[in-house]
Amino acid sequence: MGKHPNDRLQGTLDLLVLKSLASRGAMHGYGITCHIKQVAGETLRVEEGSLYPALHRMAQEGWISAAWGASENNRRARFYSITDAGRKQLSAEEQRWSELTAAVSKVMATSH
Amino acid sequence: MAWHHRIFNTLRSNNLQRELDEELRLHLDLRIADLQRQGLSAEDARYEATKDFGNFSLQTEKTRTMDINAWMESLIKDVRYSLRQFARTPVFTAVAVASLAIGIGANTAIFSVMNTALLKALPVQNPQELVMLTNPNRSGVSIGMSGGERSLLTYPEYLTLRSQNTTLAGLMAVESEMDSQQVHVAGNAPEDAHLRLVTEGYFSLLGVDPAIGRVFNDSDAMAVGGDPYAVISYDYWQKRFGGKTNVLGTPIRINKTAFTVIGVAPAGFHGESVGDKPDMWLPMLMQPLVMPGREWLEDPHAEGFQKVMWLHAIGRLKPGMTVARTQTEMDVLFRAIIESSYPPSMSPEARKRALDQKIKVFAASTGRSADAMPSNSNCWSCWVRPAWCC
Repeated sequence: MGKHPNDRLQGTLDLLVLKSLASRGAMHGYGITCHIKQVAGETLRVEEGSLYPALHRMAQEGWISAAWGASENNRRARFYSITDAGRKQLSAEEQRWSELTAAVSKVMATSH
Repeated sequence: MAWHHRIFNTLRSNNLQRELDEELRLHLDLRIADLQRQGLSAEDARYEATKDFGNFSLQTEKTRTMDINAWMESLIKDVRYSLRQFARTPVFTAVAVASLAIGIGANTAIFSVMNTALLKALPVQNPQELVMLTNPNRSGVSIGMSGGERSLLTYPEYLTLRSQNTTLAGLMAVESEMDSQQVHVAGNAPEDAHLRLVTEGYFSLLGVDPAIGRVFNDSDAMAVGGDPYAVISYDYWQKRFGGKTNVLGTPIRINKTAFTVIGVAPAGFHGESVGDKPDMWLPMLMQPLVMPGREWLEDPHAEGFQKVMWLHAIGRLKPGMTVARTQTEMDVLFRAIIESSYPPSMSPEARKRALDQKIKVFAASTGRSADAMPSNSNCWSCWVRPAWCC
């Protein structure tokens, strides 16, 4: 699977997951969903169907690492945490994101 | 992902699947619990959670595909990397590629030859039952008196062995060297064709059925010159007659005799000799008409020292019989033939030499090899060809 730097949707999910893990520490998949929902509100919903594939891919990229632990209801859960490579990726993504939003804002601010 | 991790994941894909299942199930259950806390009934909560979560198995499939994709991607990278390395060291690469090419090529070539000559059994019924009473590595016509192991047989010797043996279900004889002669097909100008004289039971002994028409059988062998028939090879049929069925009945004139095409041998059958490809087979009793002036069916020197040895004899073992049993029988039968076929007047030395003659029985499942040495050759090392180990 090639990387698609222009794929904003995928890039956005990566950014959200990395950011959540960077700010909150290790979390399992459901925890990440809840965190993003909590912070962003109903406007931004993590498509649950794409979360686990994304987590798996990012683990393969080496941006996050996974370890088994116990969940709050005492079940086995896989906890993800950000790695150094992930932090680097996060800052790159953040950079790209602000560039993108700045560009979009400029277009939107143009008077007709 | 490290290579060992990838291999581990592949080998343990069931394990991976179970872990994914577990992870996704936990997610679903936590969502259900949350929804229930918000006041939904257990049933509604499950419905809502499942609806949001989408197709469960599709989820796991997607996630698993990630693994395989990553592997493929990295494999492609590895291949590109090695190609770049090859490009950097062209001489080394050329030598390596050439070595491999020569090695593989040589192996293939050797195997092709071995497969044809040694390994591939004749395309006949139960080839493992076939035995040869003559030396498969010899061919031609030998006139005189031989000593030791006999390479070829005379026609009268063949007839006697056929009628007196008890270990063989059948015995046939075939001209040992392929003859190319001029033939006139359906009154046309002369053309060359490869002929081979075979006794009338040749095809039935090998268990070869015709593609079309019929093959010779023992009932054709009524009188010398009485069965002017020809069975043509499948290849010759295709090449010379365009595979048309009206080939049956076509007259083929050889010397002064018109032979009628009565059948076509099956595709892939080229006779008992590997490497030989006769265009047509002719009945043995037509020999004097195919080769005028050479009366080889009778033994003109029956009472003398000189014999015309020109035939290979191939037999089929009766069920349960072995090459060794046939050998024992042939020793006895051939001794009797030799004792009765030389004149009493011959010198004691000549008689001793004559009586020294023997038949050696060969297992013949792979047929005989057409690049055999002529019988007048003194190449005794030819006896140890592996194709014919007994």
